[in-house]
Amino acid sequence: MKPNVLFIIDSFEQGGSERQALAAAAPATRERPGECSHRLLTGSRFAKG
Amino acid sequence: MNVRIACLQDRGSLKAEAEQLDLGEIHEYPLTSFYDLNFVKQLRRLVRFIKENEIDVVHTHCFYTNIFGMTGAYLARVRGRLTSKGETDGFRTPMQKRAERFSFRLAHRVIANCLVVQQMLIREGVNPRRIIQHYNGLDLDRMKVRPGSDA
Repeated sequence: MKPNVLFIIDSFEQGGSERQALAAAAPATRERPGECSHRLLTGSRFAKG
Repeated sequence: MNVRIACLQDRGSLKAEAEQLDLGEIHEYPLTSFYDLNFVKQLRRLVRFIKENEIDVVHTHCFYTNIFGMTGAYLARVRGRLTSKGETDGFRTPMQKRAERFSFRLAHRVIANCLVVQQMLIREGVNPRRIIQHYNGLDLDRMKVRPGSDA
């Protein structure tokens, strides 16, 4: 089952954090079942199940 | 994973790019202060959205979203809570720093964008094991010169 992830950003101005959030969201929309392209989750409690 | 995006201010040149990702409706939570009734109102909206959409992970990306998002995610009992810290000392008032440290305590992981920020977080009491270092970078594909272009 795919996790539901919510990114919260300040605005859609050309900022580093906004760009980073969109860059992370883009590959996630193209994942196949069982894949997780979001590297930041690899060390999280969620990822460990 | 299924990704949704929320923002505090629904404006900016990246909006069109976000809409092309087809991530569903982008909810805006306009804040005026951390200390007024509107903050409580927006927080309740966020908690309701998280529960209704069964959000498993909330990832916030800056000072204001860290405080707002982590509080909402904690109240909604989200299983994975990630914050980000991408600035060094000198930008925030003592009160703002206390508020942000509170948001870090609610988070399962704090993302630092460089070693200096990571060390600062450790000095401020964040458990080193909860810090993930994730450097900023450039997408070089966006900077390639297309054949035939004037650049």
